[in-house]
Amino acid sequence: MANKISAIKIKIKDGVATVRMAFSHPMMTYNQAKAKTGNRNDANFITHITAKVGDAVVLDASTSQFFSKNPIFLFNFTCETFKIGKVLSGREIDQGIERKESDKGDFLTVIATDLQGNSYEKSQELTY
Amino acid sequence: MDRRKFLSFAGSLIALGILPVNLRAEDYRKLKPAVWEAHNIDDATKALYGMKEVIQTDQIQITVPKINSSGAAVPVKFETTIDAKTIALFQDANPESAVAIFEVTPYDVKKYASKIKMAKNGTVMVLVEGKDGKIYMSKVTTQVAAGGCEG
Repeated sequence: MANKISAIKIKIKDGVATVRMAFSHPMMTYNQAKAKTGNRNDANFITHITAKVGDAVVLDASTSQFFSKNPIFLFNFTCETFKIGKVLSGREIDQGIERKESDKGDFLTVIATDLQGNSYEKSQELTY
Repeated sequence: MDRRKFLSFAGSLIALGILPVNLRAEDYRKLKPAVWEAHNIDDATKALYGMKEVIQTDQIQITVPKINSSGAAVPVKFETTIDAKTIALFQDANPESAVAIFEVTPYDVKKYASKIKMAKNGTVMVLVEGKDGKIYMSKVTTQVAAGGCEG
């Protein structure tokens, strides 16, 4: 299974965005690596997570081996200064209305780096 | 032509130099490597914040179940109302103490949740470095039925 950021979900209420992120990653500690392969340096875990909207950094975390396998993270940020998009309703899609350019919101980009030097990136639009 | 080549080369060098700085604000793994190797909470705190006095406060809320069936994924929620610069999450059940260090951004609501590994019964501690320079602390003890660190 390839390591990746498997999902980002954003809920916006009262100007605060609640972000849930799920990662597909073994998060192997030094002890686990030693038990499994005999080499302590085979450990691999996410070491840094950054979340940005445009150029504004909304989350900056240095992390260690002690997060669970396939970890989840939840964090909150105020999003009053960002543009939040509108999604078409089912009826509007049925009527063949296309989404206007002005209805598109800013994107939240999450970048994670792991110990072996791989980096993972995923974006998600801010919408109501 | 030579000058043009040189300029584009110099430009790309400058761009390369600036890019990693923009990508991450503060990488505490490189900035404070001793924190991640500390074997107990006291050493990790000293490595991160120096010899400052730590004040216990109820302005930090930590939510951890009292008893966990497995230490492989212990749900931890924490939030604070303190005007903070950095927030650190430590525990004392694993070989090393540090779990995460958050740098608080201007947009942060300072409310986080995740799942961590714990090899045995232990204490989950959240330290907050306030903008006033003081260190605040709150901790919760929890029981783990089966350890999660050895996989």
